[in-house]
Amino acid sequence: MPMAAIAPRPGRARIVSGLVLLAYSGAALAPLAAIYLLSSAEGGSGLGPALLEPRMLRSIAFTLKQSAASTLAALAIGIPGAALVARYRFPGRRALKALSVLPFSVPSVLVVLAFALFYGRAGHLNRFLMAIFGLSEPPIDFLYGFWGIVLVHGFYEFPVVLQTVGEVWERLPREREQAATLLGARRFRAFLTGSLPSLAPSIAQAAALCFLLCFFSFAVVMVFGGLAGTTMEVEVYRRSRIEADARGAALVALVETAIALGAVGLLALCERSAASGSARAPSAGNPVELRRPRGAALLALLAYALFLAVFFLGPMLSLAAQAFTVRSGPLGPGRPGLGNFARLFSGLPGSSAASSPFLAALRATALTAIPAALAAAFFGAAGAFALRRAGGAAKALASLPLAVSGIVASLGWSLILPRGDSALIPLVQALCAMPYVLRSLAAALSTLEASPAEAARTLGAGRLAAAALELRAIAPSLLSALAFAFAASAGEMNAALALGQGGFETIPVYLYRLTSAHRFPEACAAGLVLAALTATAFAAKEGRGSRA
Amino acid sequence: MRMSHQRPQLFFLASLIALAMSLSITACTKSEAPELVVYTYDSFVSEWGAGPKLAPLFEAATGIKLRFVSKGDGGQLLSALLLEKDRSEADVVLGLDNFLAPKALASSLFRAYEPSGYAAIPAELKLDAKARLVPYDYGYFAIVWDSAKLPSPPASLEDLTKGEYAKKLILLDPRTSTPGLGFLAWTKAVYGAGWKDYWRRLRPSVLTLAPGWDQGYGLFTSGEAPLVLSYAADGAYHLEYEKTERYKALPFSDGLLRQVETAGILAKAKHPGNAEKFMDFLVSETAQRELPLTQWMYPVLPSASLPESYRAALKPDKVLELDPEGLVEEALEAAELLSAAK
Amino acid sequence: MLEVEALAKAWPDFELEAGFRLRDGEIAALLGPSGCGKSTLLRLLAGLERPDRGSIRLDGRELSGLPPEKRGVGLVFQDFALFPGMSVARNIEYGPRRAGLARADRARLVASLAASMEIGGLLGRNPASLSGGEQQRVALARTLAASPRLVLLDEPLSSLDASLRRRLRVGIAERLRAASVMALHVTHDVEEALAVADRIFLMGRGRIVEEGSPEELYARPATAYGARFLGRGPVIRPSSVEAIGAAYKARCGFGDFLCAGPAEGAAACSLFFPAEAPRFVGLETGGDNVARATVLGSVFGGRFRRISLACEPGPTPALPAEASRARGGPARLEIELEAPVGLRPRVGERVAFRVAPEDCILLPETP
Repeated sequence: MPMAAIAPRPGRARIVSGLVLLAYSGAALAPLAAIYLLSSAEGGSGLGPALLEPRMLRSIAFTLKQSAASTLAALAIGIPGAALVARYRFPGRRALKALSVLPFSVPSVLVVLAFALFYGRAGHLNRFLMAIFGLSEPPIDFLYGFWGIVLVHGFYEFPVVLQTVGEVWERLPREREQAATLLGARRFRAFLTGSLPSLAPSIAQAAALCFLLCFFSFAVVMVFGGLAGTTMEVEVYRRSRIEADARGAALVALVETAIALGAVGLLALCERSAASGSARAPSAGNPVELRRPRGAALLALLAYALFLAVFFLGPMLSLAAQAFTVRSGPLGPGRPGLGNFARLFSGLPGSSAASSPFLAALRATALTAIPAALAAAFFGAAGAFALRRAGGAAKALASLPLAVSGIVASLGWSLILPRGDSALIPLVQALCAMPYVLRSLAAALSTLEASPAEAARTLGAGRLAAAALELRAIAPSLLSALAFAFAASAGEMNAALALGQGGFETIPVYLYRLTSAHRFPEACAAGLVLAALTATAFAAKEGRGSRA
Repeated sequence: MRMSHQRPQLFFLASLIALAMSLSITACTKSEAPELVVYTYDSFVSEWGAGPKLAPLFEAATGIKLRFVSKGDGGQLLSALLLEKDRSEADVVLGLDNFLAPKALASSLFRAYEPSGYAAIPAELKLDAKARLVPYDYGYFAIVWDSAKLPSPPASLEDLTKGEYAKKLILLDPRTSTPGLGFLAWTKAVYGAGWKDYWRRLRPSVLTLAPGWDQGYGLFTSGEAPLVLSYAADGAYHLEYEKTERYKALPFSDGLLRQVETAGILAKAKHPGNAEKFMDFLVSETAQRELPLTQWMYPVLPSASLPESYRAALKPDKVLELDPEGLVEEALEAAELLSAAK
Repeated sequence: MLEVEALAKAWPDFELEAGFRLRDGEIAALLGPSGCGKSTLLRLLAGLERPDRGSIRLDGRELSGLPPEKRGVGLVFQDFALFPGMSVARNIEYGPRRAGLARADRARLVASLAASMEIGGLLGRNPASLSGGEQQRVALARTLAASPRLVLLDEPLSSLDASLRRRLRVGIAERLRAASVMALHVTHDVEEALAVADRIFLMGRGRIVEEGSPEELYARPATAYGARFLGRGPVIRPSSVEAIGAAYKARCGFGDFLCAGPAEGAAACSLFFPAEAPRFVGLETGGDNVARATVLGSVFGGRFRRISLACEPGPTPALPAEASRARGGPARLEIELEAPVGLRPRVGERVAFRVAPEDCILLPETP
């Protein structure tokens, strides 16, 4: 067990780190404050009782139900993958881990299209099955129902589980399992008693993250909800868009955030109880031992790969196929070609712009995502160091912004800055990415032994230099967090839309414009470029070496 | 405290670069002081919307620098306006349709002004006798049909409920999208108090309630269902850009519901003179000519020319209108009717 | 010169309070069982923990209040704490690098230290690939490279196996002496402390209980705690102590013993005699300083035999406290003696032994 960290100097360091934390929380929660001020201003239309009405309660109940079911699905698909990734070396292992950016970087409108293209009534899967078995009605018909939501969410979010749990698992010391096996336990039992306690915190964390993602999921629930799908965001949308009632929207947003806060709080509790009861934590210094799979493991790997290839890659490839399908001419389904990309990159015909607007969008994305990622990494690292000696309350505070959905945050920011200000987009995106960075870095730091940093201090290194040494030790986690922050910021649409003015559009905003203008094949093409961009960042990070 | 490791220095450098990039964003955004501020909605300012076409034309005609500010969609536009009230920096608000107009007019934020050319606008399109809100384009909600996937399309709202169209219709949610609300209004206009019963009968035909037009239409063009709620001019889009007449808006015997979009000058506008010039411009031939291919709506000026592809756009024989009073609450009920347990 | 005065820190379980002096070039051992506070004392000296009160003066300079990097105190960690991402050479030159030494000077320093530690061939290696002994030497080289005035070693050999420990402990002492630094070597291994140190500080429950040269401490522990920890011989709580002239008679459960003792407080002392002191006599021998016992076991210890005995009750009954300290049944005292190799008592045999009065001594119990 790592020893207690270096005793803090009373005063200065604690004050500074306290200030950092306060500034961060303040900045991240500012939109909430704005929303609260708005909702409590005069002229409120007595929304208190309205919130308790059966309709609202039903939407809350449904949201919670689908989030829970979806989380279980994501866990069911992700944990076996994490097991494989943690123990075995196989081609495509890195690509599998890189998929975890998906939920954050692919806009939901495209996700819906992807799954509809594959699993839908006229989708590839149904067409295939109907052709093979000579059916007249599509056999897979549950997409537009509760189980459709669970299916889509499960496949959309399982990479998060795989990545989160896998990373911890691969560094788990094997001795406990081996000890259990020597004592006569069969392999699964050995796993349960040996490794599961150490994995429990990461599983809880992945589950909570998935839960939050599902909780805030809007398009997927609405389209695949089978006419029964309704989330709290519907109420936010209804009041702000249809009723033109910003105050009402603000109040619902607050309720939604409060419930999400409950989930985040539960997450903190889960983590704390799991961590205290767990066995020796995986160490950053443990070498990652991977074997080539053999026998039963090889079969399992192949089965899993096949499963994913069909049911997960299917939708993604369908989307890619759309991007490469050029529609023209009457009635034809379209020819494969690069026409959509050409149109994307060349801009409007006859446009006077020197560079195409999509290239401008690419540039805008780089201008926002790179600073956002660096800022998130910098402040996340500072926060992780500051939180090391902090109590549970401070740690919970750092995770608070997770409860603020993109919609709610951008609603708040547009209240604070009604005219919008593009230069603030990186800041807002950094604030959104920071909780993830902070949590992963704090976890990485907690696995470090304290002695090397202490040794550095006795050798003449100041506090900052010793911290740099520790940063170096968790460099893989830092790179990972950086790549994640970049991907999340590149794919972020709400703040970019709310704050971007004067023609400054990032790729997700551009994509949104495309879908609002009938141009769906080009939207798919743009989405493919975005996914490629973010996946590359992630893959590059993995390539740097996941060894500590 | 000297840091001898390279990493912290790299980080520092990277942070400086990031800061520089951040600051350069401001340079990217156009920052000239505008002489006229127009609040509008998202798709108007998009690359394919009317905004980018109209702004240079306006400037060329009057020399006034114009800035469009997007507030979201129509409803968000109005709610932002109501929130900002007198503090707003807008001179003109463009994009409040006939569903939002009553609430907008009730706020007494607008000033009456009849632009030159106002008289030429057909009377049935003028929502406000006092010309506080002036129409600039209009369209119709319609069911759009994929002729490649469905041999025999429905010919009326009632047809839609027939068994042969089970799970073949993509509707838009009236709680979250304007066209969805428009469909509700359409059914109310046709069925009166019996609209609830209609929605119950319609339920088996509905595949899904998409939260927004983009999602719904995306599913439609992906082939998920051959019928979708959309706009009457969609056929023209596909003819213009995809050279296909595969997608057609259906002429229903009940008639189609009309949506009229309006613009108005704010009473507290800072540049009232410029605003008036803009309103004149908006209903002039120059501007109205640009609307069909960007807004996919009909220009209010009857003399404005329509592009060739508009032969595929649907112009209904019977036009319906509805007082939007109470519509929003009924949207909740409508969605409930569709989602009631089977 | 290191002067530690009334350095104190309170923990939930116990309180640490220490004061001692270390002379230039002196190597001292901080000896004590686990949990007695020795590592904490090191961390206080290094600046990794903050004391509640007290002062630490190194060459006249007050250290308390200074951060670790400004103290000029080196610390060799129990787990070596080598920096994982750096080569051995980079590890060693870490301190000089921070101090701003030029690259050429650093290289020379590293080379010379590596030569003296016999790790010259390992300079390019990754620390994780080294053996325990090699890592230990790298850690020491790294600490010495920073030219500290005081070197602290926190159980540097405890993670190594016994033979390696024995070989390396001498090497450490020699290298420290060659570098002419003051050193404080923490260990729980008595042999190690005796071998390495010029002076030994014996710690117990947060306090320095005894101090002295290894010879002094070994030959004549000054406290019952010291006698027990050093394993010098039996320490028994007497039922009563009676002063007889300048000497005392301690009545213990298994016999009455004439012994020497302190001028005051003899009643609170325990009886101690070195394990090798008793002479075996005939069973019929009577009088003071004689005890009878049954042999429980006999272990060959190299130069002597270690014999465990269960003593029979003597004229004075044993104290309840003493009975409870004995393993096994009530009122049975078990002790261990060292006997000449030639003696081969059988298990179960009854024997008698006599301890000369000059070998018996009353030692104070520390609170």
